Amino acid sequence: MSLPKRDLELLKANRRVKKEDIELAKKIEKEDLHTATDESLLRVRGLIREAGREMHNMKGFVRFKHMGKKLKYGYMKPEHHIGFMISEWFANRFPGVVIVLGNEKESWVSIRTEKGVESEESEDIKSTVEKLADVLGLETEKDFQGLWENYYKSQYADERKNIELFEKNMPAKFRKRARNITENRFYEKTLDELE
Amino acid sequence: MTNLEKIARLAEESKYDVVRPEMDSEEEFDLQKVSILGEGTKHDVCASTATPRIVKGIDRIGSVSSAGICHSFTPDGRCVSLFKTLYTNKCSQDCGYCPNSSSCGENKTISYTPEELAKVTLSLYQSNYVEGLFLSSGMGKDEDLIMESLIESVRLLREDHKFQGYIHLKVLPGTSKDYIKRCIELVDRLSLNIETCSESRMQEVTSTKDYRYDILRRQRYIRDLSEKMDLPAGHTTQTIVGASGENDREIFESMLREYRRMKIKRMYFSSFTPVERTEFEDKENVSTGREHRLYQTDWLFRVYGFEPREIIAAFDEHGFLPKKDPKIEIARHVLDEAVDPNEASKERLLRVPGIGPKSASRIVRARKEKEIIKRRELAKFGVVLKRARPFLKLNGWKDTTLDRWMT
Repeated sequence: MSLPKRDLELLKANRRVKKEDIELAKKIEKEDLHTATDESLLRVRGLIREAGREMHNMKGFVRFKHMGKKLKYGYMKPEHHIGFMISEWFANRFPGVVIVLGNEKESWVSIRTEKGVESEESEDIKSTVEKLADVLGLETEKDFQGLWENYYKSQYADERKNIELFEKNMPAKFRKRARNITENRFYEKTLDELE
Repeated sequence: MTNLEKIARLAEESKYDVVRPEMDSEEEFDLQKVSILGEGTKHDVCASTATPRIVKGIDRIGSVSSAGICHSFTPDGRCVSLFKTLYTNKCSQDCGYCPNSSSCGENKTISYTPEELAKVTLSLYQSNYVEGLFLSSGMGKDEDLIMESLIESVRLLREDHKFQGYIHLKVLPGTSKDYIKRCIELVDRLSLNIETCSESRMQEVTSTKDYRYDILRRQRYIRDLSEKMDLPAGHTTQTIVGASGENDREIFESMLREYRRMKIKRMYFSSFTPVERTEFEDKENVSTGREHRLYQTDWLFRVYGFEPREIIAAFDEHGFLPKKDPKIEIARHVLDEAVDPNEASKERLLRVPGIGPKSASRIVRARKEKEIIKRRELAKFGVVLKRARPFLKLNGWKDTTLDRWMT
């Protein structure tokens, strides 16, 4: 049994992958990675895990704003080349809705229809959303950050305060890449209280 | 036509009005209600959203993940993955630890309607703040009426809004078998909190709940029905650690009963925290460390496959776990000599601190091809050498006995 397709995609998506890593990955089986002690196999395993971790975190940490029923967009600046993997994953979650994920430089646009998923790479997220909103005739933006902030604070148990665990589970780099405003604000407030 | 225009046209042509009905504006929500009823669930610790349910078709909102997804963490380090809320804070029970208890005097009653609840859930879900809904409730004046409202809330989401995200529903003590059956048809996971480890301990925290009739009998209903029907993420329970003066051994034994007799998927532990205005407000706070050690024993039993008689070796003479990893204490009792990773069975390897199921499997597979000679190789299999070393021998060498017992 060769390496699963998903693992190969994640390996290729890793920004630090080298040609020889991909060549090696094509020759090995999944079990080889599990029992690897060889440095080159360990490197391949590490690269897959790294991109996989970012992918998993972005699926959770990205936040959407809405324009009408047909357009959702959210900020995302991943380290690895996982833009389409995430936008297509959300397109499958919300069929019939245009999903735009991106940042100041680039964006990934996907939609799931009866025929499957269509995707397109585009320029910065602001221009992309403006163009799509224009074509779809959408003007009003909706955002539920206030609702989230209220709910999020209600879940915090001060007697269990554990900043180290928070930083481990939701590291600053991911909060920055998904622009988690509420979490950053509350985290800084909690740090201030500690001082 | 540009590619973006093509995508926009596909959206226009799509017959699936995925957001149904049109989403409300944030201003239309009662944020105080969201906050108060949300806070009522913060000691319910289950945050799992993993479910093997397969989502089909595209006329729907949402999907699930077999691995589960965490959407956020609070500065207490806990995952926020679901919109976890009470339906109402009104309760007829007199549980000494609970701020919604009838013994706390009159609280202002705050409740959702099924429609309101569905709208908040959908708004948070579609903005990707949560993976679904975790719905619990006070018991109101009549638990049947409240249970009907809980069922109506999830029915509305599943059937009217075609919501396919994750749903965890709490079954109220005393719920009828018919209602439980309906719940199983709609949700991914059900749970009913045992709260205490025995009938006598239950009597110490409340005079209104009957442990056998209201809790255990309902758990049996869930167990029996879920064997015939599909409850994708199984059923779970939770107990409060330290609310009724019980020791860890009592909790461990109730955990075994729950896994073996009730066939629960997971047991959760929540360390007791005194809340102002409750009957137990002057009781001492229980450390999260105690909760953590109980989770470690749960893990050893459920994931590592330790026998209860082995785990019992970790408890002290008063029935409490030591303030360190119970696996070390158990290893001292069960490993009569150092373990050779080239010869030991997988089960024996698992008894070594610092070796988990993954690293044990890797060792067993790797040694078929090549003898393990250096400790460094073990580290590459994921073994935590600092903890494992005193219990291992490699090439006939082992650390001194003193080291082993001083871990």
